[in-house]
Amino acid sequence: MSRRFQENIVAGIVLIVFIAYLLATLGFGPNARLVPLPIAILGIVLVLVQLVRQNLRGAKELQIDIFSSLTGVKNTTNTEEEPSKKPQNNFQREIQAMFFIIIFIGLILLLGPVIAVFLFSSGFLAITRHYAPIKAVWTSALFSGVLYLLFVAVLQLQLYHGVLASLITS
Amino acid sequence: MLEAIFAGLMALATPQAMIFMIIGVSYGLMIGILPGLGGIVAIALLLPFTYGHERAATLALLLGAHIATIWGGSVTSILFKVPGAAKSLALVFDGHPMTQQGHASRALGASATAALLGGLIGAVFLAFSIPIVRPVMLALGPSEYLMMALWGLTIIATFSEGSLLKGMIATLAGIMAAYVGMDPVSGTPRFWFGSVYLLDGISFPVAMIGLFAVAEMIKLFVKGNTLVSRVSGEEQSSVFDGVKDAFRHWWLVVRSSLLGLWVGVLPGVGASVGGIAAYAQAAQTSKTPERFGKGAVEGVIAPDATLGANEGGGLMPTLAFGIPGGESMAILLVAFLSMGIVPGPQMLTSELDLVFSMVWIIVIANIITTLIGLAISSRLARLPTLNPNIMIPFVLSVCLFGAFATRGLIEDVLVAAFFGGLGYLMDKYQYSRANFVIGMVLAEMIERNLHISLGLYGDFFILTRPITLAMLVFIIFTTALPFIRQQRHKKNKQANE
Amino acid sequence: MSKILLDVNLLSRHGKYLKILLIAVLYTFVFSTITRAESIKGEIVTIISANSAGGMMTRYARMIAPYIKKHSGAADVRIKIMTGGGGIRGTNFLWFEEPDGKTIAFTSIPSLILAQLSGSEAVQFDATDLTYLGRAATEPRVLTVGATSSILNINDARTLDRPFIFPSQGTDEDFYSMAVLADVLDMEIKIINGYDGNSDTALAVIKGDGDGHITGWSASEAIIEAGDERPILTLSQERYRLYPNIPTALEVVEGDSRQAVQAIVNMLDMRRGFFGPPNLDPIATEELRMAISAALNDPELIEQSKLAGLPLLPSDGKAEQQKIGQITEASQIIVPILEAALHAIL
Repeated sequence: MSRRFQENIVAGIVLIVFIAYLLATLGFGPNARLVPLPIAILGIVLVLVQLVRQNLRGAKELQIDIFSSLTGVKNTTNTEEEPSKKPQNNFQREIQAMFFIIIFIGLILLLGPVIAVFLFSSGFLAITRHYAPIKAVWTSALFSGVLYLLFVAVLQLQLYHGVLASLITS
Repeated sequence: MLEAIFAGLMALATPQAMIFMIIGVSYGLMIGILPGLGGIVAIALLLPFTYGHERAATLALLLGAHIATIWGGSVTSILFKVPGAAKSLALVFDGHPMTQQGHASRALGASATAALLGGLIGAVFLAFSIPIVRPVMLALGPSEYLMMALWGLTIIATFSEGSLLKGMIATLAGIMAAYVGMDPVSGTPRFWFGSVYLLDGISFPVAMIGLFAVAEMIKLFVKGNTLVSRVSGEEQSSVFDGVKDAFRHWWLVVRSSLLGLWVGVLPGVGASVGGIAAYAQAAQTSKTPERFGKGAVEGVIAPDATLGANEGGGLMPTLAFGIPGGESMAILLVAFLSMGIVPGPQMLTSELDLVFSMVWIIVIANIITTLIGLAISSRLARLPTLNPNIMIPFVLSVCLFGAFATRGLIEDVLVAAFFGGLGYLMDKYQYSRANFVIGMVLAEMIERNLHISLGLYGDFFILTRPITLAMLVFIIFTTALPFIRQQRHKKNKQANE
Repeated sequence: MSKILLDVNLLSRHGKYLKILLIAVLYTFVFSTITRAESIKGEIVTIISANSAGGMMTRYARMIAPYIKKHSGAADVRIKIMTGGGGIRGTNFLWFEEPDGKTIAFTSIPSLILAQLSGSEAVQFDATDLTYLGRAATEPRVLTVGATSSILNINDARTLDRPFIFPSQGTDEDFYSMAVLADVLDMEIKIINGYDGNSDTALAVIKGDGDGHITGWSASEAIIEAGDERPILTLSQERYRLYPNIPTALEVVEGDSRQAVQAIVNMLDMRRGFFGPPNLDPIATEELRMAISAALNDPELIEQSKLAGLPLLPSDGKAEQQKIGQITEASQIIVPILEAALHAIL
């Protein structure tokens, strides 16, 4: 997938969000839409300009826009470099990262944050082979214990015990 | 008055007051470092433990904790790009790039010193500027607050991590996100999809945890390197370079502190807006604005000085008029009333020694915080060099726990994760995250004050309110200044060639 | 009943064991219903605090809970915080809970009533059907004007030759109270919404941007004492003891209007209250009302509340339930006013 194609997808999604936002604001009263409505319209205009520019310009100029050329502010980042750096590998790592986050969130919802932190940390430390499994487990147990003490004992946070606990108790 | 200054200090010279101060400062530092939690949480949690002690000791505990949270919040912004509280946001912009360039110690040193100097200026102000507070409070109104918010928005031009066009789109998206929930003017539920959770809006600290902390951890995992290379983390500079920086930029410190004071005094302007406004004025008045956003030490000094001074400013109207200057001051007011301290003009006459006790608490708490800060900065600076395999699970856990702790709502964890993904994509496709959060912070202030200004002063309020008009001219001037300088610089260069 | 017998006959074809099992299930169901009606003694009672963890409401709930445990004989009284929508989220949750007395709630009652009367889409409950168990605290609300204002009393406000400018922080109880007051006093008002809290509206009034605003006495007392604001009307059943010269809203209205003002005053008077789901078990209701009343009159709690700066002003659950009845009766008069006020700012 070329960088331009990716950029177009992103801009397309942003455009859809702005249009949906605009349509939603039309249902509000004049006071409630006084600021959101112009914001949505301006957003749509800017995304359209961005879409046109990023498709009319050469790939190397993808990040230089009308404001930059007017103001003389130069971009320091070179976006063309990024995809050339093992894009396939990056994509795999991104999928893995999203997978880890989803697992972590799933554990929190299911078991509550303390047990989830313990399971996720020990799992992560063991899978990445940073620590041997036993060390991963006790390090994570210690860490979860500290978090528990800090948030629950000291800060009196009312803990969430997870969907599983509520299913068992009900 | 000298007598009151001395009596105020003596009230703190008891073992209980001193112990309470140290407990308060240590506790405040801890709360400040935890993502999502700030001074309001610190004071609210301490309130039940404050009854039945000496008045000065109780104040030392509460104010000490509150003041220490400021620097605590800056630490994580600088080191991990995780703002400890909403008001520490501006520290992310240049503090973290400094860390990445191996100047973490210097950034922490500059941050602690600027907060100390800001705090001291704030304390002196609290003591001596009583006569001018009232006229200023009465002169500024919603239309001027609106201009202040717009001034904050102009800073988006400074962030060149992506294109300016994309930066503006990100800002608008941030403003849009802030309008989820109950409209503060008409009470209309907006973009809530029938969820009572969304009716309260998206919590700003939670979104920030997601956009920065969670996104950074995803990035770290994808990149596979440490946040900062071990070598650069140790070699580039020391804490005392940062201390020197703060003194070298003394004029910036004074300006930022004064800004912080007034942000504290005015009830309609929050400290998070103050931090951004301080950053904006530092960038716009700099001779080299292009360095901002890439690790300019001034970008650390200005917001920290503002936050340090903000507390003194906030205490002023709270004590003298019973009008709290901000959310944390409102909680402090409850504590004052329960201690039998009734705010009012008598605070500045018969209770003057108590006022000076508070001045001294601000001074001493700032000094203790800074001393602790400077002592631990070099150790803290090594944290970002940790192996990502340790950093990712631990930082992610603390951040998601913090997201949950902000309101005790499990949905906030989901929102933090969502914003984590969004933050990663924004970073990858260079839609500035900084601009998104700036939009989010300023959105409500813009909406509220625009409505009030239109209601009170009519459609042409900008022209009928002289201070507003002057502020608008000032905004246009300061926004154009970097570009004018740039053009002049270009011309000079061409002439030389 | 015949349907159940039919089911039993059907099942009997599959064996007598199933019949026994069914009888056992029915017996357990009936038995549990009977025992549920007995008492909350020895049970764990959960109080839903429908506001934020660090807020005043939760601080009140945390302070009172141990005393309810002491006087109710419950095994424990726990606080469960359910923040959201200004008390709506917690109350929605309570609405669907079993009416066995094991789950009750504590929040600002006027916010609930107004959310419902103003037609909030988020509301799933009917505040008039909730079971009220007692009030912990309330304070008179007061209409104040700036010290430099030409308005010296409520009559001046009524006879202004321009609209009375009322800075407001949103659609809260003060906004609606002012809308009703203006309607019954025939005052022309201009509500300016969007202010950020009481401090912000107070500053607007002191500056002269606004003519007057409504707050609780505790928030305005220091400002009045400092000479920056002047009270002109209280929204309470009786005159406030510290300002005996300031009339109540009930004193300045006559005829049918009185019913509307009385309803608003009743509603504001209910402020920080405990309540249970609709049709709460009568025995549990009685026990909880007695326990809450005894707790709020416990000298130890009274002392603690003074130290904590959380003043108590208890009222019996039955009295609170009666107030709800009066509010319901007056709702026909109030609702059109509230709707008009809301419509004006949309």
